[in-house]
Amino acid sequence: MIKAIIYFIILAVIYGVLYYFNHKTPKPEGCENLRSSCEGCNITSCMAHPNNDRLFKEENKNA
Amino acid sequence: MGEILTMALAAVLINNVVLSKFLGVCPFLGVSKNSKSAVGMGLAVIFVIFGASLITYFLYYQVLVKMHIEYMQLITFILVIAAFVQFVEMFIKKYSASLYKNLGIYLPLITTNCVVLYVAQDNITQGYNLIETMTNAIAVPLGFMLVLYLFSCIRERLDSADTPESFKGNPIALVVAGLMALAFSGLTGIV
Amino acid sequence: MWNNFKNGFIKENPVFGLYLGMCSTLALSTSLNNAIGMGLCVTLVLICSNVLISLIRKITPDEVRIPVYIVIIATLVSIVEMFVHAFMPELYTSLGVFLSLIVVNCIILGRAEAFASKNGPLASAVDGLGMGLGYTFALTMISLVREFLANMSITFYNPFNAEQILFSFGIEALEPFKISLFSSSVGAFLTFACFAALFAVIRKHMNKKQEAK
Repeated sequence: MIKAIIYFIILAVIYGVLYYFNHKTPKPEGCENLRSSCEGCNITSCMAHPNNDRLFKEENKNA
Repeated sequence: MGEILTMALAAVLINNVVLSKFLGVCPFLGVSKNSKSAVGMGLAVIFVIFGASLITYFLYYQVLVKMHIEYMQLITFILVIAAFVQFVEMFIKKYSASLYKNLGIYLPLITTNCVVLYVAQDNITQGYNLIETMTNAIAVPLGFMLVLYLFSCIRERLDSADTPESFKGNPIALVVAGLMALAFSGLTGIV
Repeated sequence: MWNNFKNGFIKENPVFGLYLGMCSTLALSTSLNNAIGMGLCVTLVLICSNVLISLIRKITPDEVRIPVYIVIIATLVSIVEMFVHAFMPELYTSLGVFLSLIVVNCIILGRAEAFASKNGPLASAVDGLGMGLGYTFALTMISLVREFLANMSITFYNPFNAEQILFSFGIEALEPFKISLFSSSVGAFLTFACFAALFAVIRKHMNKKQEAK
């Protein structure tokens, strides 16, 4: 049980650190505003989603 | 060798992930607006699935089985995939701007792409050895890319077609996907 | 709050309206049992994840928000998977890999990000329930059509004990007219497309009514 928890924490930390560093790494020149035109699903966390900002604002208004 | 080839062919054409297993339908509908982005997405998926499959394969047999914590499989796999995608994205950002231009935008989409998790799980549940795992990890996303590309070509023409008002957009795309599934099911006999 | 709950069914139905979680909808709508079983599993995970994420929304650092969500969701799905494996083995076999694929189901991460990270635990729980039931509703509708056309009968068995049939309905006269195509993937895509179009019409109609008011 303890082994599992330690193992789990190690994995989660590795992921967290990689995620953090990835988001700190600047995007290369000319790629700052890249967007794919994805309209398939509504994962609002997804960066490719075109209505990302709009959906957020609507949710906030309701709340 | 023959067996491996048969397995790969079956994974690409007959048990196609999108058309017969219904995995990765979200990107299938979303990123298939033009053939260029379909190829970009397909390549990114092949790369991530291959890497993630190898890592999860070793992690499962070398760590989880030896420590007798197989029940951590799902958590391990999703974390490994997510971490791997972050790592790849960071790596390309730093060392290859041109690669990032073409594949970069699709990478964040892949963490929540069910095909990746499916292949990693499938390798374990089917009890594949290393070579079979590697074959599976290339063939399955190749099938995904093939269907994505074909579909994007159809879709480019679909835009100018005269579809009923309520079927515009995703519904007609799903009808087309159904017809493609019908066409692909005709290939069942070849293996 | 009631509106949030109601929206999940027709206007913002996660499956037909927002096209979320399509993979599992297409694959598991072959029978009524699969549809209801999967729908309830997703609802359960969705409510729990929404409440947990809403509770920790103030102490989660913004930079590592997504990793935290994924860890929480993966843990919850593992728990549900083990529970189903232990108590409903029949359902576990027929849901197969899709049970663990709830982790990457867009509905859950989508709601966590769009709603639970900004609202209190109670509102998030209601939102989870509404969205989860909307998903179950969509899945059930498709599965009813598909199971009926493919077998000309519909059966529902007790998920805890597969031999006990709770409900069964069939028209014998139609038996020779079974369309087995509807149990295959082609039927899944076509049925889904027709439902999506139907819901688009209903939504349009509702919007017009609202404008008229």
